[in-house]
Amino acid sequence: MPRPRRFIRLGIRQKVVLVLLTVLLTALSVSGWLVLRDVEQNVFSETQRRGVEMADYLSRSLAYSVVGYDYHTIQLLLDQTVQTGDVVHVRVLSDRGNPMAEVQHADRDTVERVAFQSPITLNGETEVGHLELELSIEPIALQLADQRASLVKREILVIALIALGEFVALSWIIIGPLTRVSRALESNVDENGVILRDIPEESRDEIGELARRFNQMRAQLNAANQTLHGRVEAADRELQEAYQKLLEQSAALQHSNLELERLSLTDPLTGLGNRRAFDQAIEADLALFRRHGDVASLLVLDLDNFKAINDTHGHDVGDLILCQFADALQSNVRETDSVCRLGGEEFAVFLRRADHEAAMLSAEKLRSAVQNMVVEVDEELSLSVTVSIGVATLSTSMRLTNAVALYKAADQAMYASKQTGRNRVTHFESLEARLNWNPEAAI
Amino acid sequence: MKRALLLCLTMLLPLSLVAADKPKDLVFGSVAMDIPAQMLKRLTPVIDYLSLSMDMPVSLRLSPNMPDAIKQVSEGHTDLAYLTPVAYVRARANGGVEPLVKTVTGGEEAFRLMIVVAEDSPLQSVEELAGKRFAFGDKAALLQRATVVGAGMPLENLAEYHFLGHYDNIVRGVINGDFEAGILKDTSAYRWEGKGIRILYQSPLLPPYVIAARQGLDPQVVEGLRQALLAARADDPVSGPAMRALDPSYDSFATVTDADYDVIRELIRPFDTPPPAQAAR
Repeated sequence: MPRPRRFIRLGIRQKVVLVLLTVLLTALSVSGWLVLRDVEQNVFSETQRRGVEMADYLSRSLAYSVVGYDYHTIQLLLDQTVQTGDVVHVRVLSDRGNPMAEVQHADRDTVERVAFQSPITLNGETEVGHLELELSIEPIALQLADQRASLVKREILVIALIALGEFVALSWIIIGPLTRVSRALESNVDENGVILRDIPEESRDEIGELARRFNQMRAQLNAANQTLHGRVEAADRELQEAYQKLLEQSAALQHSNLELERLSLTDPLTGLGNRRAFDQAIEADLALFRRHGDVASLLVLDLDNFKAINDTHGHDVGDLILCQFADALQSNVRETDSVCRLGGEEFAVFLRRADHEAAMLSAEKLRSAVQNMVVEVDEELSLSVTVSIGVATLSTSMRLTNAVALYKAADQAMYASKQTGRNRVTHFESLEARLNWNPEAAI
Repeated sequence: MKRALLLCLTMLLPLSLVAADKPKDLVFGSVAMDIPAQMLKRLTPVIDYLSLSMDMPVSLRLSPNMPDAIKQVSEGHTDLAYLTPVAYVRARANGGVEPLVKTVTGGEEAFRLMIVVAEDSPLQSVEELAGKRFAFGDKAALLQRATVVGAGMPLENLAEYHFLGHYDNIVRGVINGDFEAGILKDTSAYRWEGKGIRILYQSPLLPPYVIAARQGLDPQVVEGLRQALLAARADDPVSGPAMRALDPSYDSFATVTDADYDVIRELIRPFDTPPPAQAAR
């Protein structure tokens, strides 16, 4: 959950001073409230005492006037009483309960007041009247307000002085050293993570201790950093070497793969491409024929009586014949033609851009070359071989448009050559004319 | 024989002087209408005026109470005195003082005392005051009690009565219910009538304060004093201060005869009846 963003950032000084102010304000407020409560109680008890005394004194002063029904004198006395002191209302009742005189202070009819009562007695015995007296507590309220204001001023002054002192002390004891430490840490690490300088250890307090510990840690960190750097460099070197080896192994593997690829496409005896390579080689030409009608022809060649040679002279002679036969083929085809060994003594030549006639010429040329080829087995034995060749040319009309059909047609023609006496060339189209060749049936 | 004749002449001389002497100065006395300091303040302008008018020194001698004032003027220790009606009647009876002038208040040469009750009081007649509380003014003001008795209410029929001094006290006492009734001078009664006070009874017209001369004062001096006093007016630049100081309500003085005070004598007669022992003496 993301933390809410703070708009006001407070430093240590501000935080400490804020906490201090809060604590001081609370403490002084509680203290002040207690003091004010005591003062208030004292003032109220003093007022109570004064009111009782005043009522008692006034009662005694009024006694003779009350008993003599001297309303005028009573009124004068009450007037004087109200004009002086805190009396806001005073009333004298006769022994019959009738108001004999009453004075309400003109300007104090709304002020808060405390009421007192006192019987008016003659010589402390006979009750001749009753006094009701109300004292204003306005002076008390003013006194309390003054004391409250004075207390608040005192509190503010005390808080301000303490806050100022705390601010200065914090600045001198904590913030100053911390600032110096902070400045010392500034740009103190190089690009290798090495801490460059010690921070000053000026004081013996916690900050000085922190600086000392930091400097110790700096030495340890730098040493550890150096060790780590060594290890990293060694590991880096090893990694590079391993990477290099990996590259080499990868190249070797790629080479092996290429070699394997080559081997998988090459006949090991003759060095010619095998059937798989042959299929790959002619695939694009067949596509061109189907797309653009580029003509090409296939020759299927099979050495005549090769089994008999093997049986008579052994496989080594047979292999020698095969190799020389392959060389003869390679030597007598165009550079753009492809030669491959289909298997055993059967070979194929793909003639690009060779129509019926051109294919027949090339086939005849090959047949002739084989016929003229002499295989020197040893000083005493020389052998000659012939070859039967079947030819098929790509043709839409004869539905010879893919590799299988083309091969079958050429092979069919090659067998026709075998059947008609060997050492000859037969074109598939000549077979069709003769046998009313049905490609569907042939395939 | 000559010595005896001379002795006789010597003894007679003071008597002739007392009978009709012409003093070098005059002494003014007064009943105690107020506290001494206030009396001094009220009467000093009067003696200053008389001194100026008579062209002779006039000094003041204040009495602490009414009997003393009566005694002083009756026995000739003061040459003239400012007296209440009752005090005058007493001084006349005791020392044969001669009335010089009476005071005129608001144009009136007489006044009435009035029995008042609270405005909402159920009392409708003096007879109903029986068993009620009554407020008088000064204990020395015999005329107030005499008026109540003269109205037909013996004091002993009242439940109780108190002397409250000032008329203001009487008004307050009646209004607040401490007293069912009280007695006021007519001016005070009219001032409070309808403001909490109702007039229950009015006395007959009564003569006011009087200034009287002692018996035997030189007639020329007496006449001079009378004329000087009759000439005084509250609005006169010379005599005005004296009139206003004596009583702000006074307008002037008026001529007076002893017969004016017969009504007083009638009223106070019940109080003058001496006890049997005194009567025998």
